[in-house]
Amino acid sequence: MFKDEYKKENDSLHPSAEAVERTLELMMSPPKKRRRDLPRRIALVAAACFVVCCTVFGAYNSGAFGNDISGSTVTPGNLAVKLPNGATAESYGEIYQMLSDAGLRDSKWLDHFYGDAVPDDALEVEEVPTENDKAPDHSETNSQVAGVQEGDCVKTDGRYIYVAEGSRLLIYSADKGKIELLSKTELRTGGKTDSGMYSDTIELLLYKDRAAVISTVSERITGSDIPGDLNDEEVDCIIPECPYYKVTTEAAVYDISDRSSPEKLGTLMQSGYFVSARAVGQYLYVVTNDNGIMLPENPEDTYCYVPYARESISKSRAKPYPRQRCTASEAISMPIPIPCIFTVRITAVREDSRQT
Amino acid sequence: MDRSLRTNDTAARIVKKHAETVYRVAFARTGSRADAEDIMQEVFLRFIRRAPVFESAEHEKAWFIRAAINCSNTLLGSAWHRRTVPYCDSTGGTCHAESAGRATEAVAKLPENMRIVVHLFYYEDLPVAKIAEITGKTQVSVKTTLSRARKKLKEILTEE
Repeated sequence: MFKDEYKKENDSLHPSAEAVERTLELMMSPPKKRRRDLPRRIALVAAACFVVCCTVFGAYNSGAFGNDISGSTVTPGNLAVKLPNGATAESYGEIYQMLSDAGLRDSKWLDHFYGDAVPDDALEVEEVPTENDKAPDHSETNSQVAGVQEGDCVKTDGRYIYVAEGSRLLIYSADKGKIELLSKTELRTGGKTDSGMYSDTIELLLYKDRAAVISTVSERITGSDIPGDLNDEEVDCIIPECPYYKVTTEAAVYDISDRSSPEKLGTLMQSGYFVSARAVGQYLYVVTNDNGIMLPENPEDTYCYVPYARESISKSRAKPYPRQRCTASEAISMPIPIPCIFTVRITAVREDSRQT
Repeated sequence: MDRSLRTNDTAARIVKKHAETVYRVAFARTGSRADAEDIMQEVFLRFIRRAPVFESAEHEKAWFIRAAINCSNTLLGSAWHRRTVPYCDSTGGTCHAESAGRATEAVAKLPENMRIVVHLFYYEDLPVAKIAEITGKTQVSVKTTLSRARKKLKEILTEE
């Protein structure tokens, strides 16, 4: 009889001892919720937010591959972001209301915007003269625009071969046609972390002695992931309660001057699925599509429906992702209006002129 | 109810009392042991944060079942879940690791809206009125769902 069979089978279903133990640990010391300074948070989130659907950032003081990452900043391009119907918003509250009115939980609505996420003219990058005037003597990733590097899973500079394989960065010496493995670097702790799942590495970009490795992370975001020890000068980029799962894209930059021992310099992260990336000289541009938006009950939880970006200059994952601290960038002073949905026009940023 | 939820004994007692119920509801809803464990943790965290006051043991159990359903729905509605399929599904095989048996496999093949109703009726032995209250449906809707579920289960189990 079905009922007896179903009962018997369910009686044999038990959560693992580890899961129960973890649950008890979390119950005994759940992280404290901090009361947040909302205006400051809005200002900082506004400074870190670029666009709801497509997010692009030029990274670091002297570019993503800059020589000195300390004091690095995340500098957004000039954004003119508008809603598909041409409307704009002056506050997060207006964005929240527009999303709510549009029936945010309607998957057809989300699919519509996902499909329109990156218009053909969305990404305009000011051309930078290429540093290589003569044809290289090794094959390169096919580039659509001269001087604009595109990502790949295998790269070569003629002397070394760089492979982004799964969760590892492999560097081979290829001098005189002889292949020798120089280093094998684990790019993350691997597999499922305490906070979420990592995808495999998606793309690799190079600039001189720097390598940027891009991957997508699916994070389980709950209140338990909120660090309880942030001081007033640190930005809490994690907002609890929603969404249950959040997809973010991470660009980790490595110093590969010693190919046998790459050293991680830092990480930039922004919300959304990876769309594409380009490197123009020392500037790295990463485009993501963040349409996993869920409207929270509290409009003040802007994390749920406004994109975000953060950087970390820590050289190791001492704490489980995403517990790493976020530092507010002094150079992020993009003016309001707060970016809206879903179209983005980007121009290259010249860090020295602070102009966009 | 003991409100000193931070004591080891109380937390352990609560978890011991409801963990398996929550886990099985979540498994019935999601069909995944890993997801069910995640949901279980989330439910007990919600319990700690919201510290609900229960009128009776029955009310307490209903709260945990409701929380498990809500957390399961949140997970199933997430962008991550909508854009991924289990590895075994994508390769055309069956996910034997997740299956607890023929009957649970058959329930897993039912439409999502039917699974919880079937689980609460056949495993938790809840009356239709209670199931309606927990799931937020009408009693007529619950009865209709059960009737349709029985027909589908019969088809599924007969095919095998």
